[in-house]
Amino acid sequence: MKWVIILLAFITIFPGSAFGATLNLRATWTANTEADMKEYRLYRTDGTRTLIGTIPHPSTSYNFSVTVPDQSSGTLRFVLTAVDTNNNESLDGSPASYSYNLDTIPPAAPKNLSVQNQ
Amino acid sequence: MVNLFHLIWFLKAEKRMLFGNGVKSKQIMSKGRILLDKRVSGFSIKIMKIFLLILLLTIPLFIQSAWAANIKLTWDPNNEPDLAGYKVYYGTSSRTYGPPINVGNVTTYTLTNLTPGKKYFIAVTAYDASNTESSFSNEVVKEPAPIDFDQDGKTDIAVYDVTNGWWFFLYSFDGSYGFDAIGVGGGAQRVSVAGDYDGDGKTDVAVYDTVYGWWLFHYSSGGYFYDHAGQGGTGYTAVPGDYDGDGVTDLAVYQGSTGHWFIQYSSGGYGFKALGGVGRIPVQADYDGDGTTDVAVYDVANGWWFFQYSSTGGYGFDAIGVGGGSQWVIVPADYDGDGMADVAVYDTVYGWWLFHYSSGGYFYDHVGQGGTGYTAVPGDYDGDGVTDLAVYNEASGFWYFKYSSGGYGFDSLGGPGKVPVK
Repeated sequence: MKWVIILLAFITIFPGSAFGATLNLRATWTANTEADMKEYRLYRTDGTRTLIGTIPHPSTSYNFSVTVPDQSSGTLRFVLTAVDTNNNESLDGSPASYSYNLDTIPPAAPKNLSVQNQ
Repeated sequence: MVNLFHLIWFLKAEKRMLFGNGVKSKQIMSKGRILLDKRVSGFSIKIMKIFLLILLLTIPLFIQSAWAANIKLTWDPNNEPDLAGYKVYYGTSSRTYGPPINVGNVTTYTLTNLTPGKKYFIAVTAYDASNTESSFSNEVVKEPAPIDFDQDGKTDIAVYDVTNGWWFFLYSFDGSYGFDAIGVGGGAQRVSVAGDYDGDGKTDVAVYDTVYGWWLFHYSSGGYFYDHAGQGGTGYTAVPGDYDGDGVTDLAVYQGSTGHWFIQYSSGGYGFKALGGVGRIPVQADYDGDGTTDVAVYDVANGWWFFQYSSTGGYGFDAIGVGGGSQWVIVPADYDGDGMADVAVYDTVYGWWLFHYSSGGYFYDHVGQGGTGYTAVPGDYDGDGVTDLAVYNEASGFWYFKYSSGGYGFDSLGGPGKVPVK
């Protein structure tokens, strides 16, 4: 089973909901060539490993959404695996990451700046 | 600043100044200033002449030397959990800065290699883990030391010979002596108005004609010039200051009968303000700490201070509470080191200094000398950015200091007929 490589593309953000902001992302990869290929599995690996979706072969892209806290910033990490018709799952492909920054609120201006000769 | 004529004359004058008042067997060592330690004989005068000649010939070299100043900044820490650091901005005009210095997540930073004699405006921003940057902090201003002819960041001792229009200096950077003259002679008609009119960071020799309102300069950057503020002369008082905050001294006059201020900005154009009137003398200084001179007057009879702040255009009032009268003279300066001029008066009879600090509180102090026969000459003689107390005795030419950094000092320059430059 070959490893798979995925690419992630940012699509849209729907910020400001009560549950946080929604990042609409698109993952793309190169198709495997095995004759018994069945599907691909996309996992999110930052934090607890979570299955994002199962995509039938020979698809090479997947649109999905991730909810993140409002005004947050960080990096999301994903991996893709390939699964054959006997449900044999490959090792993780090369990880892909996506950094986002929804923090538009700057810190407060520093206070009580003073100057002394030295 | 020193030509051959001046040099020859100065060697003769120095002999009189240094030894003509009966000063002898006096070892004086104060903050690197010159020391004298022997009864003066003919031989030692020759040695001293040679010594002074060497000093004077080297003065231009020293004055051209590049001095660097460091200033320490501190600010309060931010409390955002994702705070990542701070950036320091500085420049030579308000709210116009060069590229920031990313100083990391600290709350103190030392700016180095600044040019003494220059005015610096400084602010800080905070940024978070997302590199989102805050607005600017309050702006602080690093003011140059007043009366700094050698641009070392310290006030120099200087006197003006009223009769002849001669200037004598004792440079703080190496304790050497200097001389200058504009060439128009002296007399009570002309008063010294030293300031940095050419904006090179060094104080320039300048006099103001109290009859016709002309200003005459010998720029430290070279050349002799004259100018006029449009108004001035009889009935006016010269009130030079940095009214546009560009670090260059502006020409300005105050008309005592009307309380009108006429300003010729070094950055261009003219200004007019109205504050004061009969019985109120000008006492311009930077009371709000924005780097710009505020117009202000002192009511001599009552000891009241009135201000118009350049930062807001608003008006202010203050009083130390000791009343007025001719016994008190005004000596506003930044004695508490917060960047704002403090209301302060000097007791010409007993030598006491009374303050109302801009940072709060009323205080008094004494140099150890002072009172009748002494003139208050506050300045930043130790170069720490805080005004020191100092008095000058015209009869003896002696200067006494109480440094803000601690300790007392003494120097000798001047004598009868020579008024301190301040």
